[in-house]
Amino acid sequence: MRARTKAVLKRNLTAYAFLSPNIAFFLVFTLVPVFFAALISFYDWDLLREPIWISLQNYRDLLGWSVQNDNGGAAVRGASLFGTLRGLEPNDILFWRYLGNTIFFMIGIPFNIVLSLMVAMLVNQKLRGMIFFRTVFFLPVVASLIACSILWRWIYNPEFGILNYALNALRVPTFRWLSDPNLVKPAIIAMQIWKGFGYNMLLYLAGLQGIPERYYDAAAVDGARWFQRFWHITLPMLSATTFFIVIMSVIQGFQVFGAVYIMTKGGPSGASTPLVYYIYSYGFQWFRMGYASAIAWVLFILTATFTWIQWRYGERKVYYE
Amino acid sequence: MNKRKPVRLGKAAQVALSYVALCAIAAVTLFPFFWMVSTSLKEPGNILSLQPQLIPSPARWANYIDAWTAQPFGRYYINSIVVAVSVTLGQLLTCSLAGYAFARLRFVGRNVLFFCYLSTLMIPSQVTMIPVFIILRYFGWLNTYQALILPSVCSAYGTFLLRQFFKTIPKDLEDAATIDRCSQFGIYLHIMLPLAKPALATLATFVLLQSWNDFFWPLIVCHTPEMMTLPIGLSNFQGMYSTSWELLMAGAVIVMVPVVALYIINQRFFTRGIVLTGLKG
Repeated sequence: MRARTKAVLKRNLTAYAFLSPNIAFFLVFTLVPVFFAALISFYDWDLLREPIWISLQNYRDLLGWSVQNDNGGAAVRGASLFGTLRGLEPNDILFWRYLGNTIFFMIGIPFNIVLSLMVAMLVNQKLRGMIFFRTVFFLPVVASLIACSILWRWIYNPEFGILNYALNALRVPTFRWLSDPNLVKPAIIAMQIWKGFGYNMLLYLAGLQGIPERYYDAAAVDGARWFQRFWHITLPMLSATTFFIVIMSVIQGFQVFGAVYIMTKGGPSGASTPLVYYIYSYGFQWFRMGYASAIAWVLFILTATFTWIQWRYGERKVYYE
Repeated sequence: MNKRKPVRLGKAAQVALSYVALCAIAAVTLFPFFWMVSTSLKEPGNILSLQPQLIPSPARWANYIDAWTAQPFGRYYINSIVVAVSVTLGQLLTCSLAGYAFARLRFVGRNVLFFCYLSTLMIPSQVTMIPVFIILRYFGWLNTYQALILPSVCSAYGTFLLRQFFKTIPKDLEDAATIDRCSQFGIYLHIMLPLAKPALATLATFVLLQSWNDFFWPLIVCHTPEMMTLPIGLSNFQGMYSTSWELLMAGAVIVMVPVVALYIINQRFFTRGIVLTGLKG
């Protein structure tokens, strides 16, 4: 009996010896910080003075709505965006605006998905030179985001950028892409599609190669046309891939930062500021750690909710073989 | 015979159409890169012209020297390499050890612990960044290699990836080794690691790329050029020379070349990494 206890003990010790380096880093840099972040969000803390417990005040300032003075700055700005809702105004109008920007950026996701599926189907044909095309389409994915963002800022340059030059040559009106509040988000979305469609293309390619040839053979025997084969075989067989891509794209959509930081700094006047940029400003430019943590937690809860909703309603549409 | 001909023509037309579409998309994909290189070789006076040249003549290679000397790119390179290599080696070590334990060893709390790891995959990095920043500041490690490297040395994702791989290795191999009186560590080192080479290479490529291109975290913890990695240095460069496009484009090329070259030489691991990431769902 004693010998067995000893063996069990030894087995557990061995396992934890294997795990120890990983657990140590995991605790210090992931698990403890998650709870620490929740704690900080209940404080007012600028890193210089002692943190002050303010309970839910950060969340009230961030998410709450209240009756504002007519001469208050927030009320004036708010009125232009939302109108007044029985005299109620959001306490932090910018949060809602930046949340709107973040969700706006996700408009690119369906375009990206359609394009990458189309390209994957083109590349999946048994033709010469497909490896070359695959390499080309994946190139922007590996290229540095910061370098690409600077490059696109140059392409979008209103006076000397190649895009406006080309439009001008075609006698099409030109635009100030990155300084027009209506165009800045679509312009950044276009750049992100260019940067990212190769990634989804590769996922779809893997999915396409997993579809057994016999399904198409059977359909051909039945005289199914191209579009019918696509609609009844390809799409359902790829639904698991699509599901994965949508979920990952939305999670990544909540994380947009680098491209915006380089291309517009969030401007013009906040028209392209996403939520992560807001966290960056509060946390690391103005050093309001409590408020920044509160935004980060709200972002986390939003991401989790969106993911959960997709899981709940998307999963049943997925066809698993 | 007559009936078959249109089908063949259709096939040929389909192939031709495919190539046209592929070439068009490839042209749109590649043109920005071409434009970057082209701009990087132009005379400063030719940049701001209303008639842009596609291929600069004469090519001004000195732009690269100017860019390299305008910013300490050499230093940025060293920093980026030190950080990316350390993070990759660190993850290979910690994740393979833990992945092996989760896949093959029986111990108290295994499932609870593994569930903890998995659930942190959902948490956006911004949540943990603020506390980690404060912790590192408390240790006085801001603007050091420790700050750049240590927070990324272990990842739940890497652990998960390698655990999945170790699960696929047949148990017989292990049993044979146990009979030969091999210790658990011996099994890990002599049997499991050599078998896991493809998975390790995939993880390494993935982590290397991620670390090389990482922006948010180094932006927060690096304050002086001596500690900046390439993306931060390039962003800094843009802040100082915001309209010297020929120098900025030369800088962009300098930052992009190593990873793009690595990708073209070593495509297999890049693409496999992506496909494996795809399996995560």
